[in-house]
Amino acid sequence: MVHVCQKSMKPYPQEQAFFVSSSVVAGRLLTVMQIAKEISLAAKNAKAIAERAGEKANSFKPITDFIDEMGRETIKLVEEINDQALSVSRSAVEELRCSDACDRFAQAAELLGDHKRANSLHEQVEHIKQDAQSQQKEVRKQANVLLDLLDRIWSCMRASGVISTRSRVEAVSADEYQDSLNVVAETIEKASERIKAIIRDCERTIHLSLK
Amino acid sequence: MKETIIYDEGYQWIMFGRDPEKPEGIIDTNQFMIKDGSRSVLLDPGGVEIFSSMLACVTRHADPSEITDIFASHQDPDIISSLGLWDKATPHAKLHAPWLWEGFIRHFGCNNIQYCGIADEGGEIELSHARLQFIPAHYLHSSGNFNIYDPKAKILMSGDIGAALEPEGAPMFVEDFDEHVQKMTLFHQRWMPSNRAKNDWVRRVRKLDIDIMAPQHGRLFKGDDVKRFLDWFEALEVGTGLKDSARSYA
Repeated sequence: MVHVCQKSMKPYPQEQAFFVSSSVVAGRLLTVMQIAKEISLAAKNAKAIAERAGEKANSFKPITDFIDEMGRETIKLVEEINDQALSVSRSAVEELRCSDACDRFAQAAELLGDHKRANSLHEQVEHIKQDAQSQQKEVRKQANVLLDLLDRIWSCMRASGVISTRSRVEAVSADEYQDSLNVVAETIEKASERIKAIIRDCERTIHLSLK
Repeated sequence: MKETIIYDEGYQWIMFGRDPEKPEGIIDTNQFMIKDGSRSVLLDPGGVEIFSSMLACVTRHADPSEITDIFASHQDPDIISSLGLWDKATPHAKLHAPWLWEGFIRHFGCNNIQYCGIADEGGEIELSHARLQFIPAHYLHSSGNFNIYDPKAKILMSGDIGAALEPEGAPMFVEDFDEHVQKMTLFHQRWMPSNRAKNDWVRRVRKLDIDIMAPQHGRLFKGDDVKRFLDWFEALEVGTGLKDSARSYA
């Protein structure tokens, strides 16, 4: 079964090995980074408009600070997620290597049959199995951290919905600056929707490969 | 995987190969083990795909913890792509391989095994009874490449030099040298890039006292066939891929 990625419309496998999906997440977050930069730029633009509007946009000024803060927080979170996604991918590769080693050692032990040294290989299989299990636990733990970080971005974006609504309300009293401020509100709204779509996809990708 | 003891006087040289279980489409390889008391050395232990068979064979002779050294003549996957698995089986072993390839070979996984780079001019390792010499064989075919010479057993493990492309189940030793030549010609002409390197190697190897020359693919050479090989190789023009490519696309 294939799932179609909304943005690029390229099909990608719905269930991927975890070491692949976590790297894919890291790659897709680069787009989030770009969008978060657009939000920061929109915040700077809003600040400039608010300065020009003077008293007419007084109530808009605190919102611009909030938008700016949200953009910076998103960029910081993306950087953190990127590091985390690559770290979890490395652990998943190590887990895969351990599992592969386990299978190949078990095959060797089988080939040895009842040879006196077969036990030594069985012991190694057990040892590597333990390594694989602890790697698996580590991967799960790191994956949960990754999901928490994605959730934090999601919360940020949910707050942006409130901000854009509030921006539109405040824009009404800004007379000739109303249209410009509405554009800012719309930019933020669209940017956060795009980010939410990517985060949703990333979360789904991770959940599927953790199954 | 078949095994043949090719030397057994105080310590053993064991050859593993002709694996009927190996997956289709991968080249057959000869692996070697030197068991000398409580220490054992693996020479060109092979690729990932034959690891299980190799580990089973090796374990019949020694506990994996007794593998103290591994030698990789060069960086090719059929030589050492199993390193990541040996790294788990023999975490305390040392890997002796060309210094030139360290950053490349480590891509196969080398977290526990200690990488001991062999200098361009060669070197040696001493076991309980055997003293193994690393003989430079650069550009034959790899740019950083070594053979192993054991002066006591009079065996030269020659890596890809002397290799032949054989059908499955070929005998262990060359029986008719003239007939064997056709199985070696293309391999040496196409894989070996340098006539100068080849002639330099022949000149140096002629000085060694060799009973068995053991390549990593195909049959082993014994007695007079070693000299026949050196004469044949000296006269052979190598690096022919360049001529072939001159005839193809610009």
